[in-house]
Amino acid sequence: MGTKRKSAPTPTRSRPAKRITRRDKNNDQEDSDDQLDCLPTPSRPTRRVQFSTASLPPPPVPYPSPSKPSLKNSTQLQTPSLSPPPRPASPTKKILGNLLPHHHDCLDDYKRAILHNLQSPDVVHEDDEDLNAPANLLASHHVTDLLRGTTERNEGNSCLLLGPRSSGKTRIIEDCVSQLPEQPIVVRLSGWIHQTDRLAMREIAYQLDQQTSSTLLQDIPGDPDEDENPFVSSESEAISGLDSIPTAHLHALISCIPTLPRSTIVILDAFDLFTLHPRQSLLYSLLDTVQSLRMGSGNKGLAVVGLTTRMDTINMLEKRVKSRFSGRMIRTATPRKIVEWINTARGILMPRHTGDDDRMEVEDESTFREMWNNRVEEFLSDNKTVRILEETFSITRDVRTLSRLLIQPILSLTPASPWLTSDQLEQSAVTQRIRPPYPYLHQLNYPSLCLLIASVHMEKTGYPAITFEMLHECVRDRIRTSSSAPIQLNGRSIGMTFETLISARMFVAVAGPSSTIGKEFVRYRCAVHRQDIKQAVEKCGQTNLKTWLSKGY
Amino acid sequence: MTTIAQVVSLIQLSSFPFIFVNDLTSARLTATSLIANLDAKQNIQTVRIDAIVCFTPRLIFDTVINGFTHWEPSWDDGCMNWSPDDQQLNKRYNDSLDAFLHGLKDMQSHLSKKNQIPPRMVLVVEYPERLKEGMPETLVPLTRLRELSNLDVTVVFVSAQRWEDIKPPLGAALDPYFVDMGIPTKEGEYAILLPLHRLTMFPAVMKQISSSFTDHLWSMPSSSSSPNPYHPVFQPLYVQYLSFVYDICHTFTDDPSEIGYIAAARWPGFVKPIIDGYKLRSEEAGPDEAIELEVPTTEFIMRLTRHFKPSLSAALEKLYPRHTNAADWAAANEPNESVLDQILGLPPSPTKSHHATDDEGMEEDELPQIQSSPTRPRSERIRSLHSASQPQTDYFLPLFSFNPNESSSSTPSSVALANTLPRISRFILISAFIASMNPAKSDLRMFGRGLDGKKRKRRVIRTKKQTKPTSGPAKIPQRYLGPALFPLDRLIAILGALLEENDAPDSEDMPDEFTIPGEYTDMEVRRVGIYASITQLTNLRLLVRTSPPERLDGPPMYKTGPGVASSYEDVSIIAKGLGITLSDLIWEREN
Repeated sequence: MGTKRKSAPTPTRSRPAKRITRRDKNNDQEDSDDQLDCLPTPSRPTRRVQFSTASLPPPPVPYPSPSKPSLKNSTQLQTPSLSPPPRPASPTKKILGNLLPHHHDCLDDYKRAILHNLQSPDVVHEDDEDLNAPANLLASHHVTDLLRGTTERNEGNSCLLLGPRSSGKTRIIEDCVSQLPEQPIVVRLSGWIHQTDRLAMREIAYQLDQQTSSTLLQDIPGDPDEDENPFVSSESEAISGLDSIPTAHLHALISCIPTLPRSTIVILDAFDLFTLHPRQSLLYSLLDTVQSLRMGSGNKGLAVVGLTTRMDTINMLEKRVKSRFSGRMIRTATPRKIVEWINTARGILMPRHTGDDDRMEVEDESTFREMWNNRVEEFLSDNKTVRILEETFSITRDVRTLSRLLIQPILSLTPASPWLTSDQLEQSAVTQRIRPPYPYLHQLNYPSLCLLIASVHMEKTGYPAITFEMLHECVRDRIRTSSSAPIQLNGRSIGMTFETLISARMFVAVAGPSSTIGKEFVRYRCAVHRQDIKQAVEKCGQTNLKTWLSKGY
Repeated sequence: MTTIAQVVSLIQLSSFPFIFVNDLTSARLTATSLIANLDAKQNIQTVRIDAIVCFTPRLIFDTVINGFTHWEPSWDDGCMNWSPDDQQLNKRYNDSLDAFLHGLKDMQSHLSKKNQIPPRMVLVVEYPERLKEGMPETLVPLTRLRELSNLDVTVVFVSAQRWEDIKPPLGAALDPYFVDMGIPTKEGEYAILLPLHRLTMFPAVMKQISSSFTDHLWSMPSSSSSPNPYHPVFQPLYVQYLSFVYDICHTFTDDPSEIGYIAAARWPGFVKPIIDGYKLRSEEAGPDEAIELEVPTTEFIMRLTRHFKPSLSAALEKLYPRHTNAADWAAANEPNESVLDQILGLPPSPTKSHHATDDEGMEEDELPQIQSSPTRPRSERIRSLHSASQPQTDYFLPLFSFNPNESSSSTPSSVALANTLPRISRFILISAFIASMNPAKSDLRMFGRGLDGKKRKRRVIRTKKQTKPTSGPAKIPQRYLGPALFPLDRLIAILGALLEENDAPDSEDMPDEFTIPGEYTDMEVRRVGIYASITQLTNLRLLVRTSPPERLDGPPMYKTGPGVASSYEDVSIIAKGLGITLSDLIWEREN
C-alpha cells in the first residue's frame, strides 16, 4: 500500500478499476459461452479462474515481488505510460546490477525459447487446447478417427480440412498422422508447387518410391497374381528414371496405391488450386480409387485429405469428382475470444522449457523465472498492451500476426533493459500490424520531396499522368523563385532522384516501356497518396516545402 | 527501428521462416552486410540470390544448392552441379520445385553428416520484385520454403520496394516479418568503421559509404617510402573526409554507395598535397634521415577541405548522373603540385592568393575554388567558369544522354552534335523538332507566305497561365508529352520554309527559270540528298520512323528521337548556331 501513496501510479490504478468490472462481465459471459460449446472438461473452471485473474489488470495490492528493488522497478515500469520517454533510470540499473550477471544467460535462453514458441505459436495453443480451441480439438478428433479407419480397417476416406489462415490445419493433420499407432505412407502435395497434374504425379511416384522402395521391390516377385502388377513394376522403373514414364501411365499408378504394403495418406495442401487443373484428373483418380476400395479384398487403405482456406472449394469440384468425394468437411478455427488471444500471448511469453537447463544453476533459473513471469503478467495487464492486443484481435485473428507483433519487443530485450514494455509493443504494432504505406517518407531527401510535391501540384492542375518533364519544370520554377532552397538545380541531376523513386515504385509507369519514347516523356502515376505526402512534409519540417505544398491546397 | 543486428539475432536465436527487409536507398549494401554478419555466426549458412542474375527458376535452384555446398562447377568435369555422391551423378535438382526440395533435403543430410548439427540455412534474395515479373510461380514457394521443405531454412527478401507491391494475390504467400531499414542518417546507429580503429565508433552510414568502394584498398600494403593514398596513417583523416563528403552530398542523395563512389573518386586527389609535401621533405632531407609520414595538423586539414569543397560539388554533378566515370573524373581533376603551395602558403587576403595562383600558372578552375568560402554557395559566374573549364575528354556524340546539361552554351552533347552533323541535317533536325512540338494547324500561321513573298505577320500567341480550369480533361502542353508524330511531307514543308527564310540563296545565284519566290528552295528540298539525310538521321535515332517500312499508303510518319533531339534546350542551341531563334517558331512555349 506504500506505493499507492505515491502520486504517479494513482491515475493508472484508477482507470483499471473500471476495467475490472467490465472485464469481469466478459469473463462470465465467456464461461457460459464455453459451456454451450459442450466440451466436458472438469478441470476447466478452476484453471479458467486462474487464467482470468492473471489476465486482469493488477489489483491494488501489488504482486508478491521477490525483492524490494523490483518493487521500485514496477513503479518505474508503469510510469512510462504516463510520461513518454522510457529511459532506464538508475534504479533499474541498480537492481540489474545485483541481479543480472548470472541472469544474462537466463535472458538469452528465454529469448531463444520465446522466439521458438513464436515460430509455431500453436504449440502453446495446443497446451491449452481444451480451453482455447474447441473447434480445432473436434477437428483433430475427427481427423484421427478418419485416419484410424484408414490405417486400421483399411477404409478409403476423403475429407476436406477447412479453416482460415494459420488456424492450425497443417498442424492438426501432422499431429494426427504422427500419433497413429501404425505409420502409414504419407504423400504430401502442395498446390503451390504442383501446378500441373504431371508434376503432382511425378512427386507422388517419388514419395512412394522413397517410402516403400525396399519393400516394394521385394514384394513384387512374391505376388504375381496381382492385377496391378504391371503398374507396380512400372513404378519400380520410375525409381530408375521418372522422366521415362509417359504421363498417361503415371495416372495408372494411383489405382495401384492400395496394393502397397501399408496404408497411404495423401495430404493435398492448397486443395483449391488442384481443382483448377484441367479436367481435375488427379483429383478424379485419387477420389475414384478411394471410393472403389472394398473391404476385405486384401488391399490397404487410402485417405485423401485436402487442406484449404477457401470455403467454396467443394463447389469448384466437377460433378464426377464431387460425387466421388465423401463430402466430409472438417473446420478449424482461430481463437474466438480475446481471453484466448491474450492467453496465447501469455503462453508464448512464458516458455516452459528454456534452452540448456543443465548449463545454468537451478536456483538462478527459478528466481529468474519467477521474476520473468511477474514481469510478463505486468506487461500483459498494462493498459496499453491490452489495448493493442484487443485492437489486433478485432482486426485479425491470425495467430501469426500476434507472434510477429511480439518478435520485436523480444528482440530488443538486452541486459540493460531486460523486461517487456508496452511501448515496444506499440512500436512493433506500427511496423508489423497495419503498416503505414511508406514509413520512411518524411526521411526522403529534399529533391525527392520536391518531386512528390510537384506531382501533387500537377495532379491538382489536372494532369493525373505525369512525365518527368512536367515535374522537372515545376521543381525548377519553384527553386528559381524561392530564395531559400537548400539545393540548386543545375542540369537535370534531379532525374537520378526520380529514378530512385521509380525503383521504389512511388512513381508507377502508366504504360509499358518503349524504345521510341525518351525517358523524360514516359508517363507515370504517383503511387503515394496526397495525404501521406502532406503528412511527410509536415513531419520533415522544411518550411520551404510546407509553404509550397500549401500553395496548392 | 529494427537494425541488421536484430535481424541477425532473430535468425541466430530462432529463425523466422520469412523476413522482408525494405531498404529504399541501399538494398545492396544491406544485403551484403547482413550476409557478412550471418556468415560470422556459427552454424549458419547463407546463400545470396540476385534475382537479376538468376532469371530462371533453374538458375535459382542451382545457385542455392551449389551455394550451400560451396560447390564450384568447373569446366573440366563438364560444369556439373553438386550431387551428394558419385553414384547419383545423373540426379538433377533443377528440373522443378520438387526436385529442388529433394535437393535441399539431400544437401541437408549431406551437410549434417559432415557437421553433426544440421546448419541453419538462410537464403537472401535481392531484387525480389524481379521474381514477380519474371517467374511468379517461384515467389509463393520461396516464401513458404520452410513448411514445404520441412527444413530449418529462412528466406530473407531485401528490396527497395514494399512487400505490398511484390506480394502475390489471394494471400498466397505467408506474411513476412517486416523490417524497415529506413534512410541512413548520420545520427543513426554507430558501427566500427575501419579495421584499425576498433575502439572508436562512427555513424553506420559512414561504414556503408566506406565499405562500398574503398574498404579493400586499406588492407593493401603500402610502403612508407612511396606512400599511396591508402596508407594506414591516413585512416583518421579518411574518417574526417568521409563525414565531410557526406555533409556535402546527402542533400542530393542518401545512397551510401553513390556517396562512396564520389568519395572514392576524390580521395586520391584529396591526399595528394600531403603526399607531395612528404615527397618534397624527403627530397630535401638527406638520404640518411628518415622522414615520418604523418597526419597533418588540424589547420592544414581545414585548408585542405576548404580547397576541395567546390570540387566535391562538381564531382557530385558529374558523377551522380554518371556523365563520366570516377576514374576519368579523378584523372581529369587531379590537383597539380602547386596546390600544396597554395594550401600551405595561403595568405589571409584573397587578392594575394589570386596573384599567387596567377604567377604559378595553375589550372584555371582552381582559382574560384579558393575564393569561395565554405559556407557561401558558389555564384552562377563561378559555376559557369567551372563548367567551362571542364575537360572536354568526353567529346563524343552522346546521342542518348538523358541528362543534357541545359545551363550553359558549352553543353558537350549539343555542341558535339552541332559540330558533327552537316548543316542541312541540322536544319532537318530543327524542322523535325518544330513539327513534333507544334500542332499542325499552326503551321500556316508560322510559316505561311503570300504569293508576294512577304511573310504574314504572325499573331503572337503565348499561352497564358490558365486562369480558370475549364471543364473536361485538361489539355496537356506538347512539351510535357514529348514529341508528336508528323508525316514526312510536313517535315519537308517546314524545312522548305525554314531554308527559305534563313538560308535563301541570293537572287543572282538562282537559276533564271525560277521566278516565284521560294520556288528554288522548294525544288532543293525535294532532292534525294534531303531524303538521304533524313534516313541518316533516322539511323542515328535522332529521328524515329514510327510507321512500318512496308506500308505504302500515306506518307511515312516520324517523330524526333529520344534524348538530344527532343530536348528544347539542345535543339535551340543547335538553332542558335544556324542563326534561328527557336522560341519564335514554337507555338506554345512559356519561357
